[in-house]
Order: sequence, then structure tokens, then C-alpha cells
Amino acid sequence: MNEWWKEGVPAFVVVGRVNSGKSSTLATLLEVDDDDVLRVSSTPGETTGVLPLPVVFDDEEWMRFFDSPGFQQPVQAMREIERIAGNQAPGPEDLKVFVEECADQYPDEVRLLAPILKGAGILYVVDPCKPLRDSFLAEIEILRWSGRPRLALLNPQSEPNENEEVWRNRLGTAFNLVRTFDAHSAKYDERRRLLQALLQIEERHADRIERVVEAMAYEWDQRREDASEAMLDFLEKALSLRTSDSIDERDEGIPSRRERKQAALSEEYFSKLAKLEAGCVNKLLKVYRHHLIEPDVDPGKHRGLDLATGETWQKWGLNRMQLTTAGAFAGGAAGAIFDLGVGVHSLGAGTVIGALGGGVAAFFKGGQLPELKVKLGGGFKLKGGDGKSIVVGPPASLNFPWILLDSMLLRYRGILQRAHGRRDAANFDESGDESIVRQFPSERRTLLQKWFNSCLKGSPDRGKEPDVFAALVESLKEIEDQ
Amino acid sequence: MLFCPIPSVLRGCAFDHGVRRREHVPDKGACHVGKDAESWGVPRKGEKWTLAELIDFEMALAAWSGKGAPRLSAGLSRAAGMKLWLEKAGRHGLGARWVASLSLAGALLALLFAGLGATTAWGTFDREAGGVHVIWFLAVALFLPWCFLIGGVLAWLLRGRVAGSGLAGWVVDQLSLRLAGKKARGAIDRVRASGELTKVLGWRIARLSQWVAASFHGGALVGLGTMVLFKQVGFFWETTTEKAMEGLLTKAVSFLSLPWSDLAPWAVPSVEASRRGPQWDGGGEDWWPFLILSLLVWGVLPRLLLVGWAMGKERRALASLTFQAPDHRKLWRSMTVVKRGEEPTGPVDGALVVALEGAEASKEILRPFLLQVLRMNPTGWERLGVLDANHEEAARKALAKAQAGIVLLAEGWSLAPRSVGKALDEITAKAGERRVVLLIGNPSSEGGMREVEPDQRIQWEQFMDARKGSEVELVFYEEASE
Repeated sequence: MNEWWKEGVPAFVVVGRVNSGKSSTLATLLEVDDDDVLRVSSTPGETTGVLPLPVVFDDEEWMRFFDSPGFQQPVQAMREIERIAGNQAPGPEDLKVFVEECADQYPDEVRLLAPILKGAGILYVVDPCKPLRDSFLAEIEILRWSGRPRLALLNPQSEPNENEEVWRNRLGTAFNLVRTFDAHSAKYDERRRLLQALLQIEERHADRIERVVEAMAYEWDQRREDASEAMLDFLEKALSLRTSDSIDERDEGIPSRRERKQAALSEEYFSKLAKLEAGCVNKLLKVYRHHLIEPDVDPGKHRGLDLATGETWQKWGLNRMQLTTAGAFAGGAAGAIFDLGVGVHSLGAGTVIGALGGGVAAFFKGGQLPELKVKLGGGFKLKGGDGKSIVVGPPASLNFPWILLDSMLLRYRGILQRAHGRRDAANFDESGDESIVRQFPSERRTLLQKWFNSCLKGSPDRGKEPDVFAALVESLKEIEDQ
Repeated sequence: MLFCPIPSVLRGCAFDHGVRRREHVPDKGACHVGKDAESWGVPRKGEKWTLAELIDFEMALAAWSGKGAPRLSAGLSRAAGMKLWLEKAGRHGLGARWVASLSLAGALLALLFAGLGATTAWGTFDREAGGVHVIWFLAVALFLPWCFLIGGVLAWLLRGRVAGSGLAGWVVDQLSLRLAGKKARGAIDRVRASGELTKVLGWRIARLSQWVAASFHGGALVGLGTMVLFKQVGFFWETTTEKAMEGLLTKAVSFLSLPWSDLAPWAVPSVEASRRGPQWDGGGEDWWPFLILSLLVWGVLPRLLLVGWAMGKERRALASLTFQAPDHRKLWRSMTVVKRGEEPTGPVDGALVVALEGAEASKEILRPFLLQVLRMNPTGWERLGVLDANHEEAARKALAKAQAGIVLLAEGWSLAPRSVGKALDEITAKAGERRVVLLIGNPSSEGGMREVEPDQRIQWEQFMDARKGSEVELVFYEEASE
């Protein structure tokens, strides 16, 4: 970046004590998890200079943040400024003199004050769990003398304690607003609220800040749609997935050879499923600008879904009653069309039989473990003689699509909960999470069940696809609102 | 720049499927129509689509590379936005040709079926008996076409739900390809993938088919009329099950003549009197007004009503296009996307550490010193003055990349003025305005660093004093105080 200051663009500098979480606050606010850009670590003094971070939408810079080195000698710097001011109360002019004359003695203080004196607003980050020492009071005083709009951010780095109230009372006397912003767990809503708070302290640039808030909201909606697209694509491909190979008729008659072939195809099936799953998780991570996390999908054990354990099937997906109801509704709808087709001369028998068939199948087959469907068919000619094809997949359990969807929704929730200020590569542990699809309203379950059925048959219902997409978007929104 | 004020306006559009469902907005096509237009469900100017445009749109979308979509201005509905894109993408007239071909095919079929209807009417004339067999006439000219209609509706309702219907689809596919040629495969696939185009096209075909059926009834009516006008003709019926047929025919006549029996009792024939016995010698003239009215009221009129209904459905389908198929959503997002600016690449405060003559030190130990004391972020580590020419070359390349500064690390005990001077000259020549620091310390055997001896310090200071005008900062390593 050639010019560190840009006239007409609202700017805010993030200041605070060394290691108070300034960089992680900015990383979370601007969704930057690249350590090359914003270094977040426990080493004090990681930020060496003032780093401008522009907020650009559609090739135009709307506002700018500055990361800054922390205060290192606030008490001494305060005394120096008071000395410069003489008998008068210090003000912006005295700070200017301080910046011009004391760069050698107070390099960090001078650096962080430079953008403030240029006109930047102040985001003062403190850890309210720490006791309010005199050095903090000196920082607060220096910032107050600048006369710039000031917002204090409480960024708790441990369990809240009685210090917070002391901090609030003190900051309230010197800052326009005091807000809490946990840089290690803040989600979209908190980020939005922080930007809206800037509107309250910097009204001169309200139009530009408002546009950033709106653009972020719009971008968030886009992301939700992109995530829904990724999930829809994954579900369609995963449910239509089959692995097949030819089997010689002589091998077909020998159980051991047939089983060997079947086992190889099953392994191939789960490996392909894991790839699809990893692809979907990667897309979700990319959409939400996470680069540090690797999707936890192991093709060998298929840990990502853990489809081989009974626990998964009990915990995720629909419960037996919900599955039965969804199956009954889907079957009943198909039967109703038959009734309609025959001019209701069947007296509703189609609906009843369809509902019973769908419900009974779901009741008895819903909870079974992932035994893959195996189909022998074809009868096409092989070079060496007559042969048939053996097709493997998908799992016979009707709960399979629901478990896939649940797994993705839980990961989605994990991604949303992951703040960009974190620098660990820990994966999402959804093992302790409860099913999300079980909370769906019954109409949504019925709609999805119908679409799942069409995908499982290998011919996804294109007519229902837009409705399914809308249902997924709605589901993701509900997760965000939780 | 069409950014302003995107979000609040476009957010609803990009997301309108879900929003509309929640809010029960009546007009599905236009998400931002004015209040009046919205309440009447009437699309605004520029949002109305025709079948030809829709076909052109799908074809253009199929050829779309995914790039170069125009940015939409605020307030444009999805239908209007898509139309704008179509205009930019350019129409190739394929849609108009399709629609013209359909209309031509419909007209030809209508003509053919009108002739077929007249032939059917004449075909029921029994030359030997000299009269028209009314049962045959009613069955072929009235009952059979309705059976076709009911059969068609049933087939449509049960599509994909009855075993074997896939085979029928395959046959239709093969026939279409045979008739339209292999080149039409893309177009057929496109129509199939777009639910809305299929729907509109379906209503157009339904309309044409009802025209054709109306022509058939009309042809039969004309055939019967000419027969009665130009020929002495009687009307009779005969079967082997006289009593049963007489009862059935009586019921059929009284049902069919319900609409006019009170107004025109003369147009209700006597079934008993028209039975053809051994002595039958003409008669039954009261049948022809009945047959003509039956063809009009139960043949032509309902078909024309169905034509109107299909036309209305087609119009409504065109007026409520949601453009929610996956490709539509992709296009819409590309036209309304809020593009976030790129993050700064690489560390902007990155410094290169060049160890002179193999002055190795642990990076972990040196890093905090560089960060906290020199306020430089070490991102690259190279060596100069070593035997390996590759290292020298790598160091020279890296010199050009370090953004913030260069640190030349030398051992306190090994001041070789010529060698150090040469290295400093080379570095300062390439550094430009970047900061250059000569860091002196004594690496320990354990990989750590020690402070230099006082006499070494003096030597280095004298060496640097001799380099008048140099911008290089001389810094001695200091161990952190415990």
C-alpha cells in the first residue's frame, strides 16, 4: 500500500496495551485469518508498525482500519505530553508536538498516535479481566487529549471478574461508547453491531460506514446462498452416488469372489463419498474466508461422517417417529397423485397405501446401519464371456440423507462459530452436537424427504430443487440466529 | 460504479425465494415491484417475458462462460435483471424460430385433424343402410378425443411414478432426436433442466393440442353438416344387446342434451324410434341437430375454453418467472455480487535477516528481539559470505523482496572490515528507502545469542564511524533482562 493515509475515507485505528488483542480484534472484524497479514500470537510486540487495512467493496475503498503497535511507555509518554503542554490542559496540538519531537524516545506511542492526529477514530482495546492500573489510566488520558471519536472495546481474554465494572465506569468517562467484543468468539452479528457502533461515534462519515454495514449484510446473504448451493450439490451427488463393476457369471456363483468384489466396491463408494464431503466442507470454508482449517475427512475410516458406527445413526438424522412421518407424507403424496389420476375412483386407497408403505419402510429401515444396497443387473456381454454388473450404494437406511445433511449443518455451525482472530488449526468437533434436522418443521422434512427420494433413485426432482434450495437457505439462517 | 446503495435493495432480490414464501408476496416474478403492481401481481414494464425470449435466454445461458455478466443497478427485479442480461448476451433468434415452428406444426396439425374430423363424420355413414350410425359417430367424434385428453392428463400426472414410464420417456427422447437431429440434444436437455421453461412450453403445447382437438371436432361438425345438407341421410343405431344399449344411449342423450333440452326440445332425439330394425328404412332426422349441438357444446366449446385456460396459464407462468434454477441463481449472483477487495498479500512489515559468514543463531531466540527491540518482523532468513553459491544467490534474490527492511547479522568477534563493508554496500545499494540494520551479537554453541564483549563493541562502532553518511543502524544484541 503506497499511501498509508487517504483523505475522505473514514479511518479507525485500533490501539491498546501490548498483547491486549488488537490484531485479533481486527482479524475477526475483517475476517482475516492470514498470519502474514495480521499476526496474532502471544509474543508481546508482534505488531511492529501501523498497518493499514482497507475495507474495499466493488473496487472502492469505503473505510480503513489501522493495526498499531501497543502502548509500551504510556505513563512516561503522558508526562512528556504534559510537559509539552505546560500549565494548560494538553490537547491535540500538544500531541502533534509530541509526535514530531519524541519519535526516538517513544517510537511505539508516536507510531500509534500518528493516524489519530491525521483524523482517524479510535478503537481502544482492553482486557477487562485485568486490573485497571495507572498505566492504563495514562493511555486513556492520552487518547482523550486527542479529541477524536473514541470507542472502547472490552475484549475479555479469560473468565469475567469484578474488574469489568471498574473498567466500564472508568472508560465511560473518557469514551463515547463502550462495547464488548470477544475477538476469539465474535460472530457475524457482533461484527455488524461493532460497525454500527462506529456509526454512532463518527457521524461525519456515516454514509460510507452505513454502506459498509449494508455491503457486509448483503455479502453475508450471498454467502448463505453459496453455502446452500454447496450443500445442495453435495447432497445430490452423494445420494446419486453408486459404484459399479462387471462381474463374470462364473464369479457370481462363488460367494467368496462376489463378496470380495462387493467389499472393494463398498470401499470405493465410501472413499468417493468422503471426497464429495471434503469438497463441500472446503467450499464452505472458502465461502466464509477460513484458510487455516483442514476438513476432517478420512477416507479410510470415514471419520468425517462416522457412518460405520451406530452412535451416528442414533444421534444424527431424524428420529424414528420423524422419519416415519416424513416417509408417510412423501409416500402419501405419491399415492394421492394416483388417486387423482384415476378420478378419485380409488376412494383414496392410493394415498393410504402410499402413506402406509412409506411410513412402514421408514419405521423399519430408518435406523439400520449403513449396509450398502447391492444390485446385480445388466447381463451385458463381456469380452471373455457372459457377465453382469454389480452396483453398490447408497446405504439402505432411509436416514442416510438426513445424516449427511445433519453432518454438513453441524459443520456449518462450527464454521460460523469460528472467529478469524483464532490462529489454531483445531477442527470442528461435532461429536457432542445434537441433531439439527430434528428441529425442522414437518413441512420442510416432507419436502426434503421427497427430494431425497428422487436423488436416491438417481433422478433428482428438478421441479422441487428451487424449493429445496429455499428450505436450505432458511435452515442456515436459523442456525445463524441460534 | 453501481454499488450504491446495493444492499437494502438487492438483498431481497438475491434472496427473494425464501423471503417471498415467508411474506406471501403474491407476485413471484418481481420482488421489487411498486406497491400497486405488487398487489395486482402485474410485472412492471421490462419484466414481461415471452416464450421466445425464455428459450433464447436458456440457450444463451447454456453458452455462458460464467464471466462478464453486467452489474445490475439497484431496484431491478430478477425478471428484469435477467432480461437485461439477455439483451447484453444477444439473442440469436432461436426462440422465435422454435415458437414459429411450434405454431406452424400446430396449424398443420389443426388442418390435418379438421380433415380427419370430417372424414370421421363421413366414415360413420353406412352406405348400405343409407344412414349414420349414431353410436359410432358419438364414440369416434366425441368420446374418443376426450379419452385421449384424459389419458394424456393421467400420463402427465403419473409421470415417473409408474414402472415403465421411463421407457416411454426414452422412446420420446429417441423420437425427438430422430426428428430434430443430434444437434437438438443440447436444446432438449436445456428445456428439461429448466423447470420454468418446461412449464411454459408445456402450456403452449397444451394450448396447441386443444386447438388441434377443437379442429377435429370442428371438422366432424362440418362433415356432418355437409352430409345433412347435400345428402338424404338417416340416423340409426343397432347392437346385439339392444335393451342395454338403448338404456345407455338414452342416458347418454339425456346427459349430453342437458344444456339445451329445455330451450330446444326438438334437438333431443328419440332413441327408441331410431333403432334400426329389419324394417328400418331411413328416419331419425331428429338426431342431426342433437349431434351438431353435441359437437358444439361438448366438443368445440370446451376445447376452446381449454385453449383459453392454457393461454392464461402460460401467461401467468411467464409473468411469475422466479428464475430459481441453479444456473439462474448462479447468473443472478454474478450480476449482484458484492465483491470484497483483496487482502494485502504477504507481511507488509516483513524483514529479511542475512547472516554474514554463517553467523547462525536460533530464529526462535532472535525473533522476539527483532520484534520488540528493532520493531522488525523477520520473515526471511538467508546467508551471505558462505561457500555455497546457491545460498549467496538466494540471499541476493531475497534482498529485493523484503518489504520493510534488512537486518545484516554479524558475529562480534569476526569484524573483517572489507568483507562487512562489501556486504553493507551491496545491501544498502539494493535497499533503497528500506531500513537497514547491522545487528552484532555472538551466537552461542547452543544456538542462542550472547551480547558482544566491550572491546568488540568499540571496534564495530569505530568501523561504522568510518563509513560516513551511512544510513545503516548499528545495533548490539542485548539479552532480555530476567
